[in-house]
Amino acid sequence: MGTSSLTSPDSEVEAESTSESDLDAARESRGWLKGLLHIDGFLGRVDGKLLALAMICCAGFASLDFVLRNFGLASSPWFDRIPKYCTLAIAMLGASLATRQGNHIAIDIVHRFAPPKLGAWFRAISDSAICIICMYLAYASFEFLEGEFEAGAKELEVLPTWTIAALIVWGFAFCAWRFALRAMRFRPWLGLCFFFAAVAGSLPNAVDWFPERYPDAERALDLITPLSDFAFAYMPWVAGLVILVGFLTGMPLFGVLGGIAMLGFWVAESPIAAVPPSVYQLLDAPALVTLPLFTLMGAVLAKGNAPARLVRVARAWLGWAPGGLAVAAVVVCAFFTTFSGASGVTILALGVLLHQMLSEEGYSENTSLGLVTASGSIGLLFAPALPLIMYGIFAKVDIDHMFLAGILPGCLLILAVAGTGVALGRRSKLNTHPFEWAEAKASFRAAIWELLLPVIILGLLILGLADITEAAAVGAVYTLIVVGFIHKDLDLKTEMGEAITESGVLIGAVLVIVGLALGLVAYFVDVEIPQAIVAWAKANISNKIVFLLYTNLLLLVVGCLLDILSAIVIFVPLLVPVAQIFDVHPVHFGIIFLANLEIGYLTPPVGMNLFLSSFRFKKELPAIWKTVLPYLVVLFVALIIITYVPWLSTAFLDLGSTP
Amino acid sequence: MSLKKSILFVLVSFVTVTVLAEDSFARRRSKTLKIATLAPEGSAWWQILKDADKRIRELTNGSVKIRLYPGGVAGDEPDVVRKMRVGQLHGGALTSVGLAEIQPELMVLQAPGVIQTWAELDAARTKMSDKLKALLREKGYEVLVWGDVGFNRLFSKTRVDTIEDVKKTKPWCWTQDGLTRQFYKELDVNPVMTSMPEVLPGLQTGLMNAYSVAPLVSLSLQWFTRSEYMYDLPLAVTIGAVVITKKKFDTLTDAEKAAIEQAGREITPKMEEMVRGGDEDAIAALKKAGVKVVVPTARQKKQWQKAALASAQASAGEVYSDALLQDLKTAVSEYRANGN
Repeated sequence: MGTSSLTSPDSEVEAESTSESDLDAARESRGWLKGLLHIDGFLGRVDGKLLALAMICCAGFASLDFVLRNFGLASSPWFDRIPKYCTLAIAMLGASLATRQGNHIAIDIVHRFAPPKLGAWFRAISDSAICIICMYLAYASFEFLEGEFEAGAKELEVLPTWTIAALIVWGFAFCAWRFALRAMRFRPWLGLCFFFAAVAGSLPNAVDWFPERYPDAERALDLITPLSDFAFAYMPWVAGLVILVGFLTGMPLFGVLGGIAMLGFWVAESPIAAVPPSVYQLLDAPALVTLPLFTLMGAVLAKGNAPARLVRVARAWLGWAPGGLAVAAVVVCAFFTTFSGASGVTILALGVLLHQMLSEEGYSENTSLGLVTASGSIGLLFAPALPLIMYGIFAKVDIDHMFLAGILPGCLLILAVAGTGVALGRRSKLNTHPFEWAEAKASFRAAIWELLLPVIILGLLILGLADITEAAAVGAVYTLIVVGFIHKDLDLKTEMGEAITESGVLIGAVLVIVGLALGLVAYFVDVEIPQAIVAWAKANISNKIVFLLYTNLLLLVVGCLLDILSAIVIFVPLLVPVAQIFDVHPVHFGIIFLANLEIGYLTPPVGMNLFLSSFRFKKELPAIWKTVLPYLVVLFVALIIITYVPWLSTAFLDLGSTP
Repeated sequence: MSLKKSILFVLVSFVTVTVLAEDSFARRRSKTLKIATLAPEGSAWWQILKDADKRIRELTNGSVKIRLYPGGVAGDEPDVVRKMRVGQLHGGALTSVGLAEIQPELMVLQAPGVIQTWAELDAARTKMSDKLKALLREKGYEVLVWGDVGFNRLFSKTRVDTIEDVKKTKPWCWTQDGLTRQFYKELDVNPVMTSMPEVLPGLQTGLMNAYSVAPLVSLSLQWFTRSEYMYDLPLAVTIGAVVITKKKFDTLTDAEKAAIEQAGREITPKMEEMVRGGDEDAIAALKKAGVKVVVPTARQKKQWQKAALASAQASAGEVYSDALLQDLKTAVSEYRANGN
């Protein structure tokens, strides 16, 4: 599944893997295409700078809001809104840059297993399909923009909303343009097809205004009406085919979601322009702003030497115990995942370091790889991890309840993975070294700034000094200062900017999926699918246990296929109403939901962590499958405990509800 | 594929898509009015809309019906309004949040200190009815029925009697609500500005500890669980209305339009009864849940009113036009003078 551009200083894997997907790499093409690629290279650099700027503004203005308020100064409503505009800008800029670099999240297993020649064809086909979908998304967004323009709506009585809608049009148009370039790099004549498809795509609009301005031409339209009725009947099939072929050939996920949403609305006789307002919603869903902020934090920390410092602390404090290092590795991973959300940064940033450390101490190759892979998403249940927040928002559950509920199940999962690691490690001869107070102190001192990060963020939240957005923003600014000025890990002029842009691309690719997943949900709601599911469940599922079992199975599959945030956006509105009729506590259900997805990331054949791991360690996928198997078995047991022992999730809830 | 063949292929697909483009929706458009509301399924609001649906089906012999999206499944009110603009939804039972997104001028009815009782609201709105409807029509919407939310009260964790007391709290203000923002500016207080869903967590952590909304809102959003006191001084109302887009409305026949308007008129008294009673019911429920009601003295009232009126004036030209505010003030004072 998805790839990620997050590079570590030492990796050559990156150069190799991006060369076939990055548009820059195709400069040797001929003639006019070369010219286009050069133009896009320039635009790409501008986009990159803008993206970094948006990331910094997002963190900066939210922090400013926090500072002003706590010093009793008048804040401006703009400081609350600007980070939100930035989030949308990051989504669109990040998505179009991810297109350039070939970094979209996709279920592109066929690209990996097909022979190279066939794989190239698959790529060209999926790029073509998504190019057409992006054109329609851009066109739908333009209709949305027109509506906003005519309404004359304004943000805070000043900023016209159509300018914000224009960002969406622009983003999808750029995605279409870059997917077209990618496909043309393979076979230039595809360009011609795209050109005509673009013209054709703009025609529905033309046909709308044409009769208005030229009433005499009505007759010409009458002539083609029978033909159009015929075409109308077949259009959904054609569009459906494009989406299906695109999906099978490994089209990025956002195209699949957006395509289905538009097709759905079209079949339901609603305008396809109903999709872009959902992308606009990225602005109004409050905690979404924290997504880029936490990613920024994770990416900047990962690029610097923070992973090495954290590993050193873990080793010094836990390395003396037999199996202590396995525990240390899992804890470090959990720490990192909690702060970097669900973006897969952990394996990329920490994988090699931890693998080295474990191997040195005598863990077998398989045990160590399996442990690192299994730990890749292990921290998702601890505050302030994003999936918890997102679930809280979409299921309308108190976020602090989710935070409290995650503690015990999160610990259980850590125990499961660490325990398996220790048990497996015992089989080989492990080196332990005695506890050294001096090293423990020194390592702690070296990593003190990083270790303070969770204290700061949670402290601000618990003391009520900041809301989650501001806390994340302060954390991001703090991280930038620590990495850039205190440790000077990254060169401010070059490396820092790159790291920020990279994190923007990473999260932009996720945000655009969330936006279009919202669009798909809007379609589900429009045709009343949630009600249908509730009715079906009432008729066919006899009791709570069976329901939970179905949920587990469904979500494991979903966890394999989708990233966790879009899975939340799509499935929470569908499943939570059903959970209610079976009397499952919504907070408990949330924990089941997230634990499932977390484990789904590990489930062969296509869980995301498996791909990340295979990519990072240069191993074949089947080899990775083998290494995670024992961990998976134990995690399933843990999952069953979490699912059927609600107490684990609800034990602390009473604490949270006392005012 | 040779170049010639590919050009041919492209041309054929071009023609096909062109033909498709003929908008067949107009001929196949169903007469289902898709209406969204934040009111949850089973609530009094929902019931009234359901009754309206039933009545409309009866009156049109089933040619027009309402499909209701309750409980905010179609999104927050600004989302709903945006979806109405693109034509996915055809109407909404909106509160002032959505109405302000459509036509900010309507917020004049919420100008603090101007309207303070239901009777005043009714009198003023009846008098200005044509003007208000025209303002909405200008933006492409028809009002089916006005349905308000209630009069705002100040809720707080510590007891608030005077303006000085507010300064000791951390009041919340919805970022996009220009009127409340102006009001706090007038009081010389810095509010905490966030979006709606951030309020409950914010109240829990103490990020904010006071807010001003209609009792029904505090009750249904669970905000009251984090408030000890309610200051029982209605300074402004939160309005609402069921609106339908003109674009959709105009696709109906005259008979169907008349039927919908008639249904609107028929549910009006029920709606008023529910809303007026709802305010009192909500306060009773809040009291029962342990919220202490603070009754202001006449002197305090005067002080608050002065500040409120000043802020209403300051918002003129920003949120609504000054002329509209003066019209409203005249309408209210005429009512106060001679009782109609």
